[in-house]
Amino acid sequence: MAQPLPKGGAAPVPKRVAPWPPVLRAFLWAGIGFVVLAAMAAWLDPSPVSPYLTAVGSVTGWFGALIGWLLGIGGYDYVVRPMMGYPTPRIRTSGWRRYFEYAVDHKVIGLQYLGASTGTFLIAGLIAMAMRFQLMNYRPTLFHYPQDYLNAVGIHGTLMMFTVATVAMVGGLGNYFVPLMIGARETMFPKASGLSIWLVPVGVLTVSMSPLLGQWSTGWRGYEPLAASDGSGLLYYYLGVFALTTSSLIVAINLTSTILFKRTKGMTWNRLPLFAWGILTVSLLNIIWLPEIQTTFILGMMDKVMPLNLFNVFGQPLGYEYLFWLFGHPEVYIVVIPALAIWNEIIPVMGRKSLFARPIAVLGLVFVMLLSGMVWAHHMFTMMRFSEMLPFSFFTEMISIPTGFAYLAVIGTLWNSRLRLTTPTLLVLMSMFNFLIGGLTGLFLADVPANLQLHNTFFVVGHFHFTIIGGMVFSWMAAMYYWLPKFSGRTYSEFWGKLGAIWVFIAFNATFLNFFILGLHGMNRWVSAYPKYLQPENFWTSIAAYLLGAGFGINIIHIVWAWVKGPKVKENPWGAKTLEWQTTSPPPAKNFEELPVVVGSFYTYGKDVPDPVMFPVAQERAPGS
Amino acid sequence: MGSLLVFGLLWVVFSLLGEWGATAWINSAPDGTGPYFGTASNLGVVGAHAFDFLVWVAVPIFVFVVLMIIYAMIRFRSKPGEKMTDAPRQTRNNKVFVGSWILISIVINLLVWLHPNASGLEQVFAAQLPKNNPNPLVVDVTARQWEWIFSYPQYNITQSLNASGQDTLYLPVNRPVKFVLRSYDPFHTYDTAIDVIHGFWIPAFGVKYDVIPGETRILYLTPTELISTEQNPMARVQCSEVCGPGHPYMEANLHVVTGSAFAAWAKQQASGS
Amino acid sequence: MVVKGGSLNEENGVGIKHYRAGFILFLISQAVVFMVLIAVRFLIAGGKVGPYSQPLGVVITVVMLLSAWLAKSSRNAVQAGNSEAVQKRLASAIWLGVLAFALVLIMWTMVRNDGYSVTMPSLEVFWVATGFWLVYVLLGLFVLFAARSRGRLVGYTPDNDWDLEASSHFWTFVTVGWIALWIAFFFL
Repeated sequence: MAQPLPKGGAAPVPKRVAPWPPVLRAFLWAGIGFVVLAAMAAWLDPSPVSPYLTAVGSVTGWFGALIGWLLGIGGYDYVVRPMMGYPTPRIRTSGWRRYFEYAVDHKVIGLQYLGASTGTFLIAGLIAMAMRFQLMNYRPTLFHYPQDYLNAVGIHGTLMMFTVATVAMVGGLGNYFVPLMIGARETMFPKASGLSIWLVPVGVLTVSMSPLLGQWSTGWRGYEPLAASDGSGLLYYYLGVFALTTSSLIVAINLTSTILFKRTKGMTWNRLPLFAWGILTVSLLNIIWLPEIQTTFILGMMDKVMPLNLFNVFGQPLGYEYLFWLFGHPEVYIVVIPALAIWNEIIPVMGRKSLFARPIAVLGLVFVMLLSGMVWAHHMFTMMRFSEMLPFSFFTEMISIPTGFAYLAVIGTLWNSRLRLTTPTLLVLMSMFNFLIGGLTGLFLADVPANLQLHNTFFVVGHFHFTIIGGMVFSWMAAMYYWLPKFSGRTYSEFWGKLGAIWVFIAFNATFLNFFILGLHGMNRWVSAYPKYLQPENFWTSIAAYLLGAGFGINIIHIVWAWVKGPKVKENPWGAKTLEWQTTSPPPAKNFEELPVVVGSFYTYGKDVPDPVMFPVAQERAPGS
Repeated sequence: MGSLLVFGLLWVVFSLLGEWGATAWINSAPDGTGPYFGTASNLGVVGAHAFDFLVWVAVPIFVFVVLMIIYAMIRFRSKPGEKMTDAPRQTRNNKVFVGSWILISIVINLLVWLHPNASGLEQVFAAQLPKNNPNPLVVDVTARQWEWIFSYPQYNITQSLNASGQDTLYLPVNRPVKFVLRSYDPFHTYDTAIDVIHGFWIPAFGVKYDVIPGETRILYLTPTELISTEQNPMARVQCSEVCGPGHPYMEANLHVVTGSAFAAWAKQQASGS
Repeated sequence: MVVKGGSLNEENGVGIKHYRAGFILFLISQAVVFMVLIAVRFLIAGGKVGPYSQPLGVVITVVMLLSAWLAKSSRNAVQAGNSEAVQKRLASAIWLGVLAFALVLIMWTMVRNDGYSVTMPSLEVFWVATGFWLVYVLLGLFVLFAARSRGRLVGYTPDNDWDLEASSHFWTFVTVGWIALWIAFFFL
């Protein structure tokens, strides 16, 4: 965590050291690291059954690979050596290659995160398609054994949760836009941030390759005590998640301190953009809960590698579940808070109307953050004793109140607005619709007597897909269309944008509304084979799911096309007031030629409202303008 | 003010329509318990009533937000090609709206926590008291990877099997049943170190309860309908908590029969095993 | 925002004290790890104190306190402009850290040699928690080593010794982590 301190005088900057692409070098070093540490483990702790690679060896080897990878990608040249006092080599600042190398520019890092998230979204989405193909038939077809299917479920869930849902809007959009929105030239810890993104491919590869070690069937939660006796692939599930959460933890620390200390002049807490508020609250949640789940996962891993009894019948069989959901529920809000913030970012701009009840919207985010640590046990109503049920259902109901504040602000803003029905507006409204269904079905699940039936059925699966895809992915898409002109200086086609939005919306609802019915009809989770009477409904759900997959494909292709080849557009096409629009598109290396000064609210519209942003130097130079 | 009146009127109309539709949906079920489907036991009925009540609560909320979205898209949209101008009325706060929103959301949440949640739980708790379950049929339920084993100590049945040797659960209708949920029994060998959590779920009964390694848990319920897996596939015992590769196949048939049929069955089982 | 005392006056006015705050965020997040370990200790083993060596626990505590104090006092040497003392004190801090690391390993071996079952609940949580701590020790030793190397190659000035300060804060954190574990595992 050493900081780039300005050296006295201009030290000579050495030439680039990497003779070949850093990614290749990282792979090589990772390979060496793995072999060295795995061999050491095999030597220290030999196993009679497998002389080359033991369970311990695959874990220590993984850490060797991780260290080798991080050093190879740039950690050695740009972090470790400078930390010891050697000069820092030059970092590439232009050309496509910089996206495949170590970077310190938050915009490059943000795009790296977005790329990694989108790629993983495709991988995990394809796995979901395969799962739906299996479920078209009540007997095994594509996945011949249940563990094949269960392993696919686990990888789908883990990747979607830890690489897409918690990363795309925080590591991706957060890294790219938070410094721009608060008027900073860079983030607080750019060096650590440059390394953190490279933990994502490690995590994704580790989790997706985990079945090679041995199939696992626990799903994304890794429930004990099953995990302890399940396939060894779980080791790489733990380690992959460890890499991914470490990445998010670095993002959280970096962005929190950036928001705390790097705001430009006049950017008071009352003026801080909603999206920055969202990222701040999410980051605080991440700082507390990610280490918690990391520790829990490492404990689970040790329980598996060593002959310990932490979480089985001799220890605490439910201990892991409590620790998991202690993190698991805040995780849901980690996913959704940025989405709620994006709604209130886009709607005032598109409606040309002042954000309604801004303090309430901010308070909503903060209260969701505070309450989210108290509701965890509602995931365990069927596991707890009857006497524990009442208090936990109370907080669960209460958390819907601050969540509702986001709706309050949007609805108040919509009223009497001059709403431009652009693709981002449409997607935000769709996201509100979907998340509403997610929230209202939560009402049913929070009711304990009904929960005893609905728990662990497809009703729950439908519920959380509505909150996560419906809330977060739709808002992510809205943000992508909204900020596309900022990323590239180009814009999208309204026709294809709207078509894509409506397509995804219809296919999404057709797919996941069916899940509720399936759950009520007795379809339980984690099954590749099910009673025959459920087949017709599952068949049509799968057809809708394929349409949904195609719809996401259309949107991704459209966004990529618009990014590269779309029509050029003027600097601030939406007429937005926040700072990211007060510089060129795409923004220059240090974001602003001159740091802006904030003199008013970004969310106030109307006649005679003065511009909230000033550039004192530029305005002095040209007093006529 | 005009917009507000129109919106309010539409909201009332659509909410009423929605409630009417929801009620029709609920009454369309043969036993009038709505779309909950798992009502063949006393606990299932509690859950079904909660579910139905929540449908009624959810309808006006759903209508309010969705109607608002659609209304804004029609009434407040700026026409394509129109010059971009700020909205004429810039309301940045409205104490009445904000205050009533917060108040109503608190009231609704407290309400649904008290009823149907707390009141339903009270019924569930009451149904769990031994004194409310006179002369119960005791069924020892053992969950292991991957099999349900049912034994009836009162009838000397150590493992109830059907003709093809599969575990099967027979219950008499309208008599309280005391399920003793455990992950081991005295009649088989187990490796307790690899015990895992299972979920004892009978979809038609509308209730599930997990089987935790090392713990014994009791679940009382009373079946209220004559059903069997053959005639209604919801009437089955299904593991609801992922428990390893065999999880999808961890199910057993269920037969709820009349008291006399049950007695005959028990006699035949006891002599057969 | 005007920064006093920081040497990093950029346009945003970010100074060392802000880096320090960011670093404290990191330490807070890592403190959660120790809280979980202590929670797990009570979850699995209740309040039972395992058969690990009490005297060695005291020795490790003393060694770590001494080491942390040395690392911290190396910053005073920077203020005094005595770069030789910086090197010396950091070196002793590092060696004391290595000693603490070795003592934990010795404690592990002693428990093993006394013939206790590996899976005794109070021992399980002990292995796990001290193992976690050893990883932090390794990290801390590396950071101290880097700080020492930087002191040799670049040197610290009284108004800019941030790298040394961060290293010493981290080492203090490791020490406090040990003391928390020590209290939880040896007394409560």
